[in-house]
Amino acid sequence: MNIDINDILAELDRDTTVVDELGISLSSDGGNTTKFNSSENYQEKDGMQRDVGNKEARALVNRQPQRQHFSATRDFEELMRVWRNERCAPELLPYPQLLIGRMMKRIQSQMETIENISMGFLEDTLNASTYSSNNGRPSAENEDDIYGNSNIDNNNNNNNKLPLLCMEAEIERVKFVIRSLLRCRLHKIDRFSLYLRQVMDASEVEYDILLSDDEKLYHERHFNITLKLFNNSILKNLPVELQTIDDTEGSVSMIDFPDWKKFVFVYVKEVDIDQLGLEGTSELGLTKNEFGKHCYTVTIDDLDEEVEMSLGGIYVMRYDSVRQLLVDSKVQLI
Amino acid sequence: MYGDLANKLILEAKRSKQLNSRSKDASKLSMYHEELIRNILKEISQLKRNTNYLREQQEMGNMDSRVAKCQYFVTLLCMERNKRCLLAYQKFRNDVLDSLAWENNGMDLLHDNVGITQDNSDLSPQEQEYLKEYSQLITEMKGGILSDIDISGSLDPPSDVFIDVRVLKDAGEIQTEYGVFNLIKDSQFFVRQSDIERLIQQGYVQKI
Amino acid sequence: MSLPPHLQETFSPDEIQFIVENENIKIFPRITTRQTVRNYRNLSGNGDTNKTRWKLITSDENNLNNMVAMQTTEVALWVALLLKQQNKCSIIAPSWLTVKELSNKIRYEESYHDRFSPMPWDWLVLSNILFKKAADDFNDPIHELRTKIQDLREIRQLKVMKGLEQLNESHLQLDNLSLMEINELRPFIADIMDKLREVHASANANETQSQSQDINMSI
Repeated sequence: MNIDINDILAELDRDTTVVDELGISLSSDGGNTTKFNSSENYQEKDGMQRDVGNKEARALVNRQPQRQHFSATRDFEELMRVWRNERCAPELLPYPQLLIGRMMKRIQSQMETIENISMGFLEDTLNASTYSSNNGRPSAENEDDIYGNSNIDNNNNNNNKLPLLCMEAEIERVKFVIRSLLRCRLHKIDRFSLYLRQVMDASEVEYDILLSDDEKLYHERHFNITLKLFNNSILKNLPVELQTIDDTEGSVSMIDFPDWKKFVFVYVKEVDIDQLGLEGTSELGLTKNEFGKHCYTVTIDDLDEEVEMSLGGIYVMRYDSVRQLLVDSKVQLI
Repeated sequence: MYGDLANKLILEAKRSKQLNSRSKDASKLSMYHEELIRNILKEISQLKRNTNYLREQQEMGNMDSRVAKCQYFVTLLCMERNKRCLLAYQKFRNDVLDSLAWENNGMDLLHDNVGITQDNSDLSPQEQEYLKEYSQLITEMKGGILSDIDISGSLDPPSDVFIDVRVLKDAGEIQTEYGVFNLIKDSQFFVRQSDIERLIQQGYVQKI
Repeated sequence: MSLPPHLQETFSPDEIQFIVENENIKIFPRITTRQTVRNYRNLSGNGDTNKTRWKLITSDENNLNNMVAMQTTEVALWVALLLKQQNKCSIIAPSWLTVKELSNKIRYEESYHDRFSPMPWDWLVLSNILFKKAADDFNDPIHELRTKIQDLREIRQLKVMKGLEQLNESHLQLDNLSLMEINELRPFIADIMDKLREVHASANANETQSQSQDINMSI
């Protein structure tokens, strides 16, 4: 798991024009489209970029043409990919700071839109004053006006409310994915609590990539209260030499770390060979095998075996064999 | 034999774990085995005294050094094993406590009486304190920039966010979290499922 | 635990369905949302509720804002299901979801014992969703389709079971297996292969050990 920080930082410099920060308005998202298209190492960089705060980038991004639709679609696809990878990977993956930031922005802005539209319905409703059950609650905290009275048999407004239904349902979907992603991450942070403390001590940079600020706080505080419980109920009653919680000298190490060799299911992403040309394909590490299929070659360390993974294929592989391909976004865990 | 008590504790943890994993209901902890734990701790102290004795004897040259070393080593292993079992037991209980805290949205389980299945007297005082602190932590995690997400919310994917319901009995105006419904028998509504969930359970309305 | 145990090993069936619901599908709208230039105004939030426009944050809303009744268009499956629920569209079943096509697939499965027929990665989930929520949109009788899908599933399951003999500590290739099939097999296959890996590793460790002992003795 060698992440060369310098390489990434260098790449970041080149990419600053597409850095999107939490503070940037939605309309600026179009800047990311180029980045997605070039199928670069999005995931890892996303984790890295948070330290590259820069107003310059913000100014540049704001000048990007507005291509929000495309970008929203790509971002959601990316979110689904990140979620599925996190759920399947044995280790904690880098926190997708920028992606989450953009998604949160969209959710907020969408909630405002919904509120505004609902407000319109409410006014109509009150003016017509045919509906009794919507009485008087301000729409700001009251979203029921979009359906409160949509008696399905006779409601002309139903067609107009349809987009609102969709938009509300959609927001719930996005929230669910983010929630599930974050909860999965918290689970891993708990499970590898001691291991992550080692990571923190060894390299603060790497620790920064892995965890968001909220997650760091959670990690620290949950560790403290857990340690307190272990100390008070067990450890302090033991002989001094047995009182540690992170002893690695005994017959069994007390530090649980990710099973790097765990078998995972991977899908090898398709690549547009014609578009890339010969040079592009070899740059990606693709070769043609004896059946004329393009594939990546990975090594299974313990067995001294090489395995060809052809594009579009599904494999069960040891995690450490495909980890680099995952970081490079060439495969996806399924 | 040394380690027997610890083994009992582990079997107990295993049994509760199976019970918990079999039902998809709320997590639940059985009684904290305080006495068993106290006895295991006693056993460890006894083992500790044995190691001290063995070391003294060895230093005084009273014993065959190979036999003494072996005895000493085995005693250490027993102590370590006991510690491992104690921690594993507590770790298992911690996991369930964590689940409990999440299932209840980080609410203060010990003081708010919110339809909890967990009997507090089954928890040790330290565990009660832990549960309170962890629930507090969850509550704080829910705030901040991610507050729109409600991270302690449901982990089931949203399906049928809106549903059609028919009112089965007159119930007058019902106030839900999101608004007011005038429930007249046989009328139909198209509503957010989460708003009406409780009314469905209570038999006032029916999903069509 | 912040993630319930049943979600730690694999996805739940509901989550698999959720993933599939993000795919696009063709529909026949029963409503028209396209606006002519003449009556076009951007009305969202302006108080005029006659023409609310779609604005989505996970996919392109263009198709939704340009629906013309009975003209095919393509939307995300979850949107299609919502429109269907409101009686605003019928869903066009994918071309492989006919009795004839499925029979072909079954023949394929029966003639090749060492491979799976190329089915879409979401065939099992998608067909089940459509059977449940858009049963009236099929041309073929639904019970026949159900039977075919079930047959196909069973033939493929049988092949998977036979293939399990080949589980090893190295790797496995499972082309054309669908998401649902993978998800059901995941805990089992991953567990077995992890165990085989451990056995292999410890057997190897013993070998190295006994070799080094041999060397010691010979010295």
